[in-house]
Amino acid sequence: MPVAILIPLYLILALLPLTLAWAQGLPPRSFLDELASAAGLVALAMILAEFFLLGRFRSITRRAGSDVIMRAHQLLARAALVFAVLHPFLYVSPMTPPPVWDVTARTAINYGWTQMWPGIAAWLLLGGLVATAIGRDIIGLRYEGWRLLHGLGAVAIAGLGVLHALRAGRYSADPLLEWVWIALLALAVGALLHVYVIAPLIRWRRPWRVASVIPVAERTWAVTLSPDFDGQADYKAGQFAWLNIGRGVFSLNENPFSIASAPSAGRDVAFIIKELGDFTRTIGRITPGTRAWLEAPHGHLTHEGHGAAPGIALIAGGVGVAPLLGILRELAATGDPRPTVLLYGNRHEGQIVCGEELQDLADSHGTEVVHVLSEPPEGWTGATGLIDADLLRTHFEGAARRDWLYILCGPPAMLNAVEEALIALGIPSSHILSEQFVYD
Amino acid sequence: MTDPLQGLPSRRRIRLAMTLILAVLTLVILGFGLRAIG
Repeated sequence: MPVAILIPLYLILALLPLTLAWAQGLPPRSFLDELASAAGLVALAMILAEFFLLGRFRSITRRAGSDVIMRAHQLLARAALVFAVLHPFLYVSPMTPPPVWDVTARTAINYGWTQMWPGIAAWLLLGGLVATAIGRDIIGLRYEGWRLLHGLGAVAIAGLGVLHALRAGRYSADPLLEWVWIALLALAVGALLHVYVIAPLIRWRRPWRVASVIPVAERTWAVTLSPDFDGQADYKAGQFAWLNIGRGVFSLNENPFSIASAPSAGRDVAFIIKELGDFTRTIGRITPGTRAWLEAPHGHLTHEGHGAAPGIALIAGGVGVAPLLGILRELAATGDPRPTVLLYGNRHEGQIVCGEELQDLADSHGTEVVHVLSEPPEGWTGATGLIDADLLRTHFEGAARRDWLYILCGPPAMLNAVEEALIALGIPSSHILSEQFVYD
Repeated sequence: MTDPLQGLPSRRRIRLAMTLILAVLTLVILGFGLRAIG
């Protein structure tokens, strides 16, 4: 099923309450009153739909990728905020109790503190939630603190919003719509509970421990975990995991990292982690034996399922090489005979991760490894500059490589430029897989 | 069923999908309001 199926599914969810309101056949009020109610109904449905766009549900993320779903979560939250902000200001009918003869509340807004306070609270909290999500770095909120605040705030907004709809809503007074709101709220909170309570409880029976932490490049570490249970992680080369090291199983201090090991190479799982901020700053100080928890697999960045591609191009920027290293290791471990090219961009030589292993892979598996440095040292004979359209044309132009699979991982600017350049070379976008962890 | 978003880079695909979603939502909201006039 193509990724585009997610769009009508989302629209059905976001428009379900409004459609049910429409079907009630109540006599309409003024244009602006009806617009205000519609904006409120859609905003609340969108807020509840946000709980399914957490990037943690595989049935959704395997179609579009976690990064795309998270980006949609951000953008749709902002759109919901716009509808929610408009909702109270569009009403023009008087805010008084409707007269007795007006049984459908056509001439007045059902106003009263009991009806209004949940809406006002949800309205204010929603603005705060979106603002703290956008400005988290500027405010200096720590990641785990922000996650807790974001989750609790979202539940509060959803609960207060539904309470407001049930108490004040002209259309939500209908029993069917009332039950739909309650069911959507239950599903939304259930989705959050699944991610933060049920999934950790399941993980509790599958503990891991840190086997080694080894420097592999400047401020970059290879962290290997071994399972403390019978069995192993179920993942495909190139996928990523939410990793929690040294904290309780319910800790919110977990971060997404690409898996750099090959699934067929054994039970251990390895990550390549660069010191960038928060948790990663302390990665080099983690001692072997430390307890760890894995939530995996996630992501769609894998060569598996693309067996028809006659060759595989891997294009990495910086630490984005981690999942591609996992794919290369898997290709070598399984003796995949397809030609493979790795274009690997870094600023300088000290940032090249696992340089010797890449050379070994080139020698043993025949992978063509092309290092690209933007600040090359004196005497550097390899490619220089950025991975740009010219370099991509040199390696991938022509009909022979049009049907290859292209797997990209790196900073957003690089990914966007490379993707555009590959499409300009005639590579179908269905042959291009990319993943980024920075969404803005 | 072919994917109508194929042929576009992922950034443009997201932008197109978001535009499509917001356009449909806005049109239905406006349609709901227009019942008062029509």
